[in-house]
Amino acid sequence: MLFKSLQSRITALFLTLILVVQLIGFVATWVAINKNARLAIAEQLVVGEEVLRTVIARRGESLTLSARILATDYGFRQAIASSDTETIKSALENNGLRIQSDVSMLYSADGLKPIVAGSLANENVDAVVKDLIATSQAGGKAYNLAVFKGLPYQLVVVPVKAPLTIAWIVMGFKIDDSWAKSVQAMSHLEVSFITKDNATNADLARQPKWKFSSSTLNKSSAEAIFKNIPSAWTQSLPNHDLKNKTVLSNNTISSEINMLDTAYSTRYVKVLNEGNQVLIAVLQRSISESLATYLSLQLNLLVLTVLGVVIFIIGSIFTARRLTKPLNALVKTAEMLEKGDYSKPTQFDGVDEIGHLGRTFNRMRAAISEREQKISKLAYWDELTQLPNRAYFTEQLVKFADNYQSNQQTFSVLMMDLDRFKHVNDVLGHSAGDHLLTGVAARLKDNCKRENDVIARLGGDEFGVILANTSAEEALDVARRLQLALETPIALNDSFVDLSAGVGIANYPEHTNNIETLLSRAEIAMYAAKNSPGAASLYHNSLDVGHDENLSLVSEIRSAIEKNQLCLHVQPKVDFTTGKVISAEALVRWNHPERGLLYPDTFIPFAEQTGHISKISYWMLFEAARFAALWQKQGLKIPLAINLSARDLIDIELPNKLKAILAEHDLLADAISLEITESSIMDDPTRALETVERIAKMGIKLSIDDFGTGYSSLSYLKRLPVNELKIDKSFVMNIEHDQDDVTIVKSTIELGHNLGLKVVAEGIENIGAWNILKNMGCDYGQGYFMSKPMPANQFQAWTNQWAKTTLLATLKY
Amino acid sequence: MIHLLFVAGALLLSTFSGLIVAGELTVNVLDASGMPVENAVVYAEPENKTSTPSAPAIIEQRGKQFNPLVSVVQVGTDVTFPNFDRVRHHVYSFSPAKTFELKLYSGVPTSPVQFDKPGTVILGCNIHDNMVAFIHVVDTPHFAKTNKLGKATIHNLPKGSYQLKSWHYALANENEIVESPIMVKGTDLAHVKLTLKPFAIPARN
Repeated sequence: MLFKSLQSRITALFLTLILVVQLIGFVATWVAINKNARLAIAEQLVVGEEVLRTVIARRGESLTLSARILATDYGFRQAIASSDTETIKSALENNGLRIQSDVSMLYSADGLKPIVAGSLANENVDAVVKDLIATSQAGGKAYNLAVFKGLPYQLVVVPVKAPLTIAWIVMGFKIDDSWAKSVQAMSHLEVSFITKDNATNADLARQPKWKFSSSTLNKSSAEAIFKNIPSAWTQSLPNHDLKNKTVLSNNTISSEINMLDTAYSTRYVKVLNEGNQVLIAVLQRSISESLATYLSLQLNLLVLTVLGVVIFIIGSIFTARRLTKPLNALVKTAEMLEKGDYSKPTQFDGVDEIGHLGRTFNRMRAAISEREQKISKLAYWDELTQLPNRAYFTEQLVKFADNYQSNQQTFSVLMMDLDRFKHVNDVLGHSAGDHLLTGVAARLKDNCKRENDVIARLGGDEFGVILANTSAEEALDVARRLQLALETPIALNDSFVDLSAGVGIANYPEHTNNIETLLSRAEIAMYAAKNSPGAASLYHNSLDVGHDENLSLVSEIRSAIEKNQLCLHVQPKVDFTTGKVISAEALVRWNHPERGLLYPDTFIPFAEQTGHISKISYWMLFEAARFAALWQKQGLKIPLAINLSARDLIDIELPNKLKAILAEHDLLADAISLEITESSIMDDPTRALETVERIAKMGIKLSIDDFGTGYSSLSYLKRLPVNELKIDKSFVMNIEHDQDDVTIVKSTIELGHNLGLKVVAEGIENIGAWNILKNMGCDYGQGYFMSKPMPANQFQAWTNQWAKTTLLATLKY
Repeated sequence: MIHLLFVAGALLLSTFSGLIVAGELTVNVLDASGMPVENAVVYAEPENKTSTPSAPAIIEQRGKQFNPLVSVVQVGTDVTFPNFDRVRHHVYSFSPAKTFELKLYSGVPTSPVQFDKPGTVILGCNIHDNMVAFIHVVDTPHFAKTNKLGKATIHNLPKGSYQLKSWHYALANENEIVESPIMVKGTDLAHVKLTLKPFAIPARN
């Protein structure tokens, strides 16, 4: 497009409009002037004709008057009465000289014959005079035009009365240049008189020969004038009735003719048309000459037009600027808004629509800015805890990372997840949960008061802290301090709630120099910490399924089962009272082709995260059943205990799968037992409980694994159809030196027994522990003191040997 | 009044001649279309002309007009032209029968003009173009002028044969005298038909 900008388009539009208007005006004026000039000329010509006729009449009258003076002369009359021809003649001549007439004649009273013929002795004269006298006698005008020998005359007749008419004086004037000039003087027209040659020749009559008798124009114009004489007039038609108006109008014709390259408006007036006697007066006006008076007007108009166009161009450019300048400012402002820059308002002064638009725009800018601040506050703020939210936290992390580039200050991220928060929410209600979160936030604020530290609620019961200029180890101290701070119970609805949280720590750049990874690693560390209550853990590669090393493991887990790389290990449980092996816990090992034998803690967490745990569980169940069946056939009836994950417990098909496996190996329900952790139930207590109950109904025995580490709810414990408690090895391993552990273990055993459950102690590593537990009344023991986990196929041999060992003997069974 | 004088004169004449013979001729003058012609002069010329001048005639100028318009007099009659207007008149005639002029005068001219030849005399006033009068001079004492009804009676006309002549200023042929022989036996009636041309006599008051 040619006119891209509004400004050029407006200018072009205005310019086109003014040009069109001016052009139309100019053309209209020109046409009007032309038309007017021609009309004026036409009018002038009409007036000219009137002037001509007036001149003819006036000259006729003045001539008549002159003749009448002679006619009343007493002596002249006397001379006529006495037929004194000589006297008459001399009187006529004398009078002719006096009034400068060209013709002086005296005709008889009847007008038929001349008494004194004068210079024009011509037959035509008698006829003309006779007609004229007759007209005069009848009361008509006493003068007329006539053509004699090709020359035009004006004749007058005046009667000589004594007192009756005794004769007629006839006087004549040549119509010469003086006539033309006097008409011209009055009418400002070119005047010519043309006569038809009085040819008697018939051929000539048909093709009349015109004669230029007098004119204000050069003789050279004659030809053009002759040529344009209306063709109807060239016929020698007698025109007897001149008084007839229609005929009179036929005696006038207007046309435009070209003479010597000049256009003339021309009016042919047939002033005489009596047989061969034809006299045409030609009135003319040069059109160009007439237009010349308008030329300066036209020139002025042209100057005005050009001036108008220039003013319009300037005006339209100015207008367009005025329009587009604020528009451009608006565009700039809009671009600034687009970039998120709300700082600078643009000044709009105009009182017109655009100014209004601009000011509206400014208000919009301010409103958007205000709303954005509100939104960004909302976007970065957690209203409940009055802490920044995850988005702000992440942004701050990015800033810290950016600062690291310049100041090399490492920083650490603490990520904290409250234990049992979901439980609190479920049991005490959401408002209690909110109170809890607020309380936790307050304690965090109290304990991280360094200016540069950032505390944020990352969502749910998850909090995050950025510790500026802090190494991983220092962060660990802070984490412990925080955990300590949380240990004081929080009062909720008249009850106190114990708090604890898993805290994960990741350091920048020690653990990663990517913010997202930093967050996820802190989270991984946090989840790892949650497995051991009240603990804080630093990130370590082994924790991370997403870590490169672990990533390959994750992908290999799938094929590990198919490639038969997993193998079943078992660890026996021994009865304290009899010293006999009463059951064994099935454990999985991965015989990795490159890394060698892998323990479950290196790959089970990933299997749990990726969902492969179900397959591993199924494989375990299947293998355990296989071995149980195998051993039964050889007379060894020892139930195998298999660990189930949280994911397994929400699988409503699990009971059926168990049933199928038992049936396949021709086993009864007591051939296997299942171990579940408290936390695995807590993920989805309703479904987990349902599954557990169905399994229990099948007759399969259930144990609570790792008892004491989770957040056991005694109400759940009561509802769970379990047969056995397994005290976590963390309480057992130091039992010889830690009195608290003794108390806990002792209480737990009592609790279990009181609930009608068998109690298993894990982690027995020496005889001391064994004895303590035995004395406490613990039912079964498990640990390295008796045996490490061993490949399942070696178990039979081990049992045989266990029965004969000195160890058993030393235990005095 | 002048008319009355003229009539009185005629009565006197007829009384004298009536003693000898008794005769009277009434002429009815009509134009070509049968309309009566006024101011036509009719006169009877006997075979033996006797020249007895008639009583003087008067043509007065009153209101810039000659009055009467038409007069008929016997040869040798004196005519006076009394001017009753406050303006002066210049009475003239270029007629061959009597050419004269009475230069500007007022009142009664000192001497009358004698019309000594038969014929028509056209009178004009040199300074008043509208003034015109005709005097027809006849060579007989028996003449009369038609009234509005075109009737003229010649009284005291002795019995005998005459040439009855008629003249009018508007005769188509102005030099023609219409004449016909007539025998007067007593009281006679004659009809005369004149061919007249349109003749505009200047407006008279």
